[in-house]
Amino acid sequence: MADINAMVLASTTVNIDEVYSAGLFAPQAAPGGSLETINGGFNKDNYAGGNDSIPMWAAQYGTHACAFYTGSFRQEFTYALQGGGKNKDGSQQRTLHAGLAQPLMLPWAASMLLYEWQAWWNHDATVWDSDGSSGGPKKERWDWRVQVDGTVVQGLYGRLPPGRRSTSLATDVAPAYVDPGIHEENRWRYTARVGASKNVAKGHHSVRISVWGGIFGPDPKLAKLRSLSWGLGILAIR
Amino acid sequence: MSVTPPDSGTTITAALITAMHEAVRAAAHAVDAADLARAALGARNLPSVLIAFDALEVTAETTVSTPFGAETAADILTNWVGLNGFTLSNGGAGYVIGENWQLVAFATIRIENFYDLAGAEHIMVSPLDLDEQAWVALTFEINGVESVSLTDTGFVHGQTSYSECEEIITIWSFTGPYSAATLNALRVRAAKNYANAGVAWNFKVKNGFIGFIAIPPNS
Repeated sequence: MADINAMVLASTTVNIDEVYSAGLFAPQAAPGGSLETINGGFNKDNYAGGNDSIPMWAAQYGTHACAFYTGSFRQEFTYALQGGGKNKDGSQQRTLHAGLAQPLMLPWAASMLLYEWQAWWNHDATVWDSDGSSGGPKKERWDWRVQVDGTVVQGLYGRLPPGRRSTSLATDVAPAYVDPGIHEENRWRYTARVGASKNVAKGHHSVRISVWGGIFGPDPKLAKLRSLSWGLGILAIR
Repeated sequence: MSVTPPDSGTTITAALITAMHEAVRAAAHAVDAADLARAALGARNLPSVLIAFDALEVTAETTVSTPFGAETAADILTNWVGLNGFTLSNGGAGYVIGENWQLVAFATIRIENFYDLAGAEHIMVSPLDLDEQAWVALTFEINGVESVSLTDTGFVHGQTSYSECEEIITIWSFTGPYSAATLNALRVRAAKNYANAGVAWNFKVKNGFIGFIAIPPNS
């Protein structure tokens, strides 16, 4: 740090011009002659090198960016009955995926808020009447929605497709009922999506992902969505 | 490191002024000369490093019927179709990129389904097999010249007996450093591959997101 001289005022009363030139602003004065030395008079040890820039590592942590992450290998189960029952077109009671949800507090307004999430899903969903003999296939599926500050990001909406078939209807009973068997593993999905919000205000925010199963039956209590591993990362940049 | 001003209502004297100056001087001298920035520079007194950035949510769907020619940059740029909505161009003005800046770009694309053209979305007796492919690529147009890296591509394939694909392709691209330039546009292009004999088919892109940030050099 360049040494700043002590202020010496000749007048015993306040003389604004003297105060100014003797201590506050005197760019032509010798180094340290006034507080003006703070404006560009720092010790070169603080500079990155020849172009007098300040290196990124020299700034306080969190000056330019901050990040949030949640993730786990802990399995989470969601059953179709939690989402409203058997009727695909009935009321949707979406289930928050507890692991894929993150509150965050930004200490400053962010130019860009990037959020990426990944999950390995194992789910149960069937195509009933797969031969179309009763008016065409009836397809089950699961879906997810991403909400940022409570608003759904439609561009990140997605579905998990059916992966097992039955030629019967879900409502058939034995002997007409044909068990669809187990869900085909190659119809399970690994999902990675990324989105962004621009010019985000400082303060509290949230990124949440909810799931819902459009399952007809026969037993929504058994049809489930299992996430085996998952992670949600958020990067805010000023 | 605070400086105490005179109380409100106090008569300002030359002695008070020199005392305040002394307090400022002492505070400045107390800063470690070798670590001034870490001790004093934070979000309140440093500007953002992010100058060029943009992102776009895409909800318009696109049906892709353009045939794939080859997994080459030339074919991508010549033959693959630009996906509806997946273009970032700042309204056509582009984005100014400084010397030695680097780009971090991303795109996430939802491939909804494959379907044959004979009967709309084909159902369960699929004329398709495992080899139908849906390809996408993230491209950069800089100073009017579009380019693509083959590492910024991806594909998924269809499956016997199911028209629903429901696969997500997410591409992250790290490129640069660039010379000072204009990033005219980021795009996603797509094409289908594998012609199953006698069956015309397409695939549908349902939604997605595209965006980038430009990172200035460290020093």
